[in-house]
Amino acid sequence: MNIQRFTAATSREALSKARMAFGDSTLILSNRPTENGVEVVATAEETLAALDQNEPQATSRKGSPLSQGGAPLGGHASTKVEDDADQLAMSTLSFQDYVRERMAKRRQETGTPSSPTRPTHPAALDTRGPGPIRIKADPLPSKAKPSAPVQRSAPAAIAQPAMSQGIVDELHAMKEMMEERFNTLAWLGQARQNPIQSNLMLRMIRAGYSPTLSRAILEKMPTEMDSTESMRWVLDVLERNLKTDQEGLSIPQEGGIFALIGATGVGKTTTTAKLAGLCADEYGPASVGLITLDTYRVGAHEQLRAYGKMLGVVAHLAHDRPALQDLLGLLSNKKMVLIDTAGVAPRDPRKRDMLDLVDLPGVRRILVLNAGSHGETLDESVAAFKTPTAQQVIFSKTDEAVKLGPAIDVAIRHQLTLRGVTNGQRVPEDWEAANAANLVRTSMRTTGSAVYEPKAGDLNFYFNEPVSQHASKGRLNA
Amino acid sequence: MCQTWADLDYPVTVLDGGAFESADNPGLEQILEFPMSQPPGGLDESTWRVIPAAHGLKGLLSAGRSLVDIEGRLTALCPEDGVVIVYAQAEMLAPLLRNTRVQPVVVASSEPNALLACYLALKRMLSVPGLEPLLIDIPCNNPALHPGAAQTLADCTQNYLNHPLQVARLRAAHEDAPAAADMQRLALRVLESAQPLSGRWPPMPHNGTKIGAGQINRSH
Repeated sequence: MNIQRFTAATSREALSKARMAFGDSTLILSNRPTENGVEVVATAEETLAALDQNEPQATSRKGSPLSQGGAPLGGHASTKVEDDADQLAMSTLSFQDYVRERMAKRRQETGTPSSPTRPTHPAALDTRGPGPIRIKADPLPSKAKPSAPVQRSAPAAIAQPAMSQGIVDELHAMKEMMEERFNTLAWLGQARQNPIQSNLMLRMIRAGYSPTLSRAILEKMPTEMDSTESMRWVLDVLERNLKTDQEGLSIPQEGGIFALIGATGVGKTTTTAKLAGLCADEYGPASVGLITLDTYRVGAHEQLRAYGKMLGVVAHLAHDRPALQDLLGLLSNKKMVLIDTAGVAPRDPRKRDMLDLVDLPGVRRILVLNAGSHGETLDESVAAFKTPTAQQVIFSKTDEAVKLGPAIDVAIRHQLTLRGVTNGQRVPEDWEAANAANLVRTSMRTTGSAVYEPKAGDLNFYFNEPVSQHASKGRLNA
Repeated sequence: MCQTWADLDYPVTVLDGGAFESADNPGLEQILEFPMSQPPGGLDESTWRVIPAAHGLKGLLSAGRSLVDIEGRLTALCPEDGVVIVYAQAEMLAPLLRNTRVQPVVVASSEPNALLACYLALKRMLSVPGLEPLLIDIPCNNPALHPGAAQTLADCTQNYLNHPLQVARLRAAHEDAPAAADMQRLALRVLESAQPLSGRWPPMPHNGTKIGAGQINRSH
């Protein structure tokens, strides 16, 4: 008796191995998928035939106990079979029964008349009924379908216990995470192959730009440039995407009613005074009106009034919307009216009330951002104080900012229009018109503390973002 | 209003057209006759004071001059960021305010006999070209008095003089907004239309052109 197991990556290979071992009379006893591929148990037809011959002989040899009127014939045969089974590692007869039982069980489980483990060789299928799968001598058709899909369908066809929704969600999350990791690794690998790109990535991140923006820019960088040209290209892209009023009118020249909004402590009052000073210096003190809505902060009105005295401008205080409307009517003949608002945190529930207060026709909001703030803080401020129209912004405290990258990054990603920057406490001297080229170049020249500077090998960690976060790339013209 | 300005850190000097100057009580007349580096009593940034100015204002009227002509003298009356208030009858004040951007304040009195005087004052103000008086409506607690005096005056001005009048209403203390807030708003509003004392008069309401103001104006 010769029964062998053949394992291979595919069913076709395993069957080929079986045929090589047993020739044309190969008889497949079982065919099941394993961890490494497919396992086929096969034997030769002669082996079964020999077993069939041995069975009656075994029965007749044990006939004396039968003739002695002992146990019935069937029971004696099974005893013989059991005896054989005890002696042999695998009794053929019991194995035949085993195979038959397995086949029947599978048919019951799948509810199909044919076994799903049958190899996909339609011409070779034996559809005569239950029994071991037989493969005819005909060679396998060259265009036979690979059995791998069938083998894979076997476990799928077998009814799996229903997974809980939590497990499904976990699997999806793992899948997304793996995809993102592979994408990032692929990009990083590509970046490492291009040292210029890798170096620029490092420089941009050191300058404070977000990994999202850095990657979005560098992905579009032409590869045929040298390091100097690449750097220039990156600077040009940043300048082009940082909107300013450089080619238009400045705030005093444009005139109108402006409300300065923003979080606490960003410098709204001082910025208001600077703008008032610029307008007074150019058009006279009578051309500018000052209003403060800040009734929360102690000394807010006094501070603006003090600046106003320096400039020869009266600083009014409005407690509510009717008072503000009344004052705007009073100051309607001014070239520019500036409204200083109370600083509120982006998550402060009073923010809505403050924004509604300045929601009047003709009043344009300018968001004041502290240029030294962390990028995520700036992102939150921009999102919290967003307006339906194009958002204007002023960078304050640029003299105190270690890096300008985060502020420029936010302005680019959110398509903000930069109207100016402040760089000190002096009113109105410490004000500069927004110049994209200067700002971008300054940002790339900044050097922070070595403690916080990332190394090239740390770049991986900048891209290991949680799956649940989806960074807004914004619109970028690169 | 003077106290409110003082609370807002504006040193206040009042030229009282109802008080007469004398040798013992010098005022505007002496200032005009004898240029002084400091006003009588010296400069005091923390208080508001009253200077008699009846003879001085009459002298200006007689000479056909206006406050514009004595701006330099008035600058010496108050500190750098101070405020000069001219308190006088309408028939004296109106001619003195010509060629200025000052908005004179008229208080609407609820006394029946005062209504006519208020209307006359408004009429005199409006007879000066470019002068836009501001009518103050103060709360009336006496039911015997006419409560809608300001509205009546505004209607009369509109109907008979064909001139719309600006009215500022001060709410009583028991209403929603505190009285101090209204007074502060009024004081700042009056200051908004004040004439800066810079030695060089700024142009009338802005027309959008650049004038090259140069030195920043400091006081009102």
